[in-house]
Amino acid sequence: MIAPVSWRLHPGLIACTMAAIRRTWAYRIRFVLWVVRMIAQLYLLRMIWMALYAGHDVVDGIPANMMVVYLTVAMLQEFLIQPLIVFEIEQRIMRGTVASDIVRPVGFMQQMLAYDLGGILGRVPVLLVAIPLSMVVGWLRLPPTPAAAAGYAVSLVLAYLISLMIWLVVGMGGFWMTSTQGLRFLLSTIQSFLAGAVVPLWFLPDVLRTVLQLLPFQGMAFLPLSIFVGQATGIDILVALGIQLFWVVVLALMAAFVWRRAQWKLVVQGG
Amino acid sequence: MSLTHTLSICWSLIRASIRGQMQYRASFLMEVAAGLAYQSMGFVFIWAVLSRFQSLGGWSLREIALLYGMRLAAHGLYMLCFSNVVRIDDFVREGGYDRFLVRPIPPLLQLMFSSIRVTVVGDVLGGIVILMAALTQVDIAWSAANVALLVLALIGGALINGAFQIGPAALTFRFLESWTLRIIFDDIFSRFGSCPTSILDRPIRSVLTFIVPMAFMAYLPAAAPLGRETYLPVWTGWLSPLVGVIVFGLALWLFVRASRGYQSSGH
Repeated sequence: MIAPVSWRLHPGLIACTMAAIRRTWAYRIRFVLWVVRMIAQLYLLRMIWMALYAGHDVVDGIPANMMVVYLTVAMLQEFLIQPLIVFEIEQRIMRGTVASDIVRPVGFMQQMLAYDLGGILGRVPVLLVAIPLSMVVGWLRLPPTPAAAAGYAVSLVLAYLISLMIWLVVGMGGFWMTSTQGLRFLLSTIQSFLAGAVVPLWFLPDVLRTVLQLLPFQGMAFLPLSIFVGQATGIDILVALGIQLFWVVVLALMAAFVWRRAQWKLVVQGG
Repeated sequence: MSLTHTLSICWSLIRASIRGQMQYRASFLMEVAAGLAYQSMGFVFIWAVLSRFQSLGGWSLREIALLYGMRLAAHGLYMLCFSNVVRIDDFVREGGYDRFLVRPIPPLLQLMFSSIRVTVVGDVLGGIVILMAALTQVDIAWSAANVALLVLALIGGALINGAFQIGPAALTFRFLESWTLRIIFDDIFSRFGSCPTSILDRPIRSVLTFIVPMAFMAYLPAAAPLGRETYLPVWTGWLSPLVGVIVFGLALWLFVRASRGYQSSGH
């Protein structure tokens, strides 16, 4: 009774998205705290970087204020594309409710994607507060050129897709491991470092930088951010987008492969 | 109810929980690794930037490694007892807290020991290893006073850490969730706890010294043995445990008080 994979838009999917939006807003206090958390972190991070720059305006060709914009955008986009989908999948597998998800007339993966989209839409209002706020205090400014702005827009979508595919694969690991909590926690803690959201790849020791450039994670933060701040220009923007696209394709193939296998592995607990 | 009996019940709960977590063996190992990774991210960040920028507010990588080791060891100490507080949201929202109320030991104790998170192993070991390694790298005399200062700082740090998890956890009884607030403190401590607070500007520095006393976890106690001036008199480094007891007491009071407002989920 496994629904065939089809991409026809089913009204049930819209319902999934709406449910996810409503659920994001179920606990209102969360929103105040999310904004507080972002501001607190940014404030402290900014101060640490200022201390590191120690009065120098430019280090390795990166001006201090560009670094602040980099950190701000990193935080904002990380907030927007949180990998909650993996948590959703894990919960459903652990509690066994995945059994009823699978017999629904819409494919399981489509349901999960619809939920994820709902989560993102639900978080947008927070950004509508956070973005103007960070522009007023001068931590955020617009990309320097229209090309950078357009490049970033495309790059952000690709970054989301890379994140989505990575987390889908991790989430489906649950069909084998039953509990993916450990793997999820491990990856979620190191991903922002691997992605270059904490320290831009420019400032890393050579060996570490080379390793990170060979992994897909830089496509989640470093590549879009260097386009945004104007560090990657002209042909470099296209190269960055090309690298991201490459990873989207590779990871999507992997996700599809894992999902095909996963359907035969399902063990429902305590059913 | 005798204390030994209470303790033996807690011990049984802990054993059962560890057995339970061992059922998912792959995930168990991953979680230990994840705990270590989460806690080491703060250090990796500092190591990565200091390999390019040399010093942070005049502190070298070795000195900051000491701060980091102190904070992580204190965190491990706190986690040994209070790791399960992270589950308060689930217990309250799904009514599991009911069970604690009908059993004959204090609910907070049951919350603490109904499960011990295995990631603690990573935090404790990581903290001790980094602390010991850093101690051999910096120029500190092994005097009785310095050892006492270090031990007191660890206890104080654990209490401060615990206070800013249990205090916010009290909010769950009112708002049904508090993890968003708890991870704010978790984040700040793990990411910035090993930075000298002297690099921050005055208002924020005051907040992180007198309101959320993060400066007392590592920076202030470590300053004296390292022979460093801070923005406070040198002897304030000895105050960590006192500060810890005060904020922890406040947090406990808040938790117990708020728990009276517990409403079950009605099933």
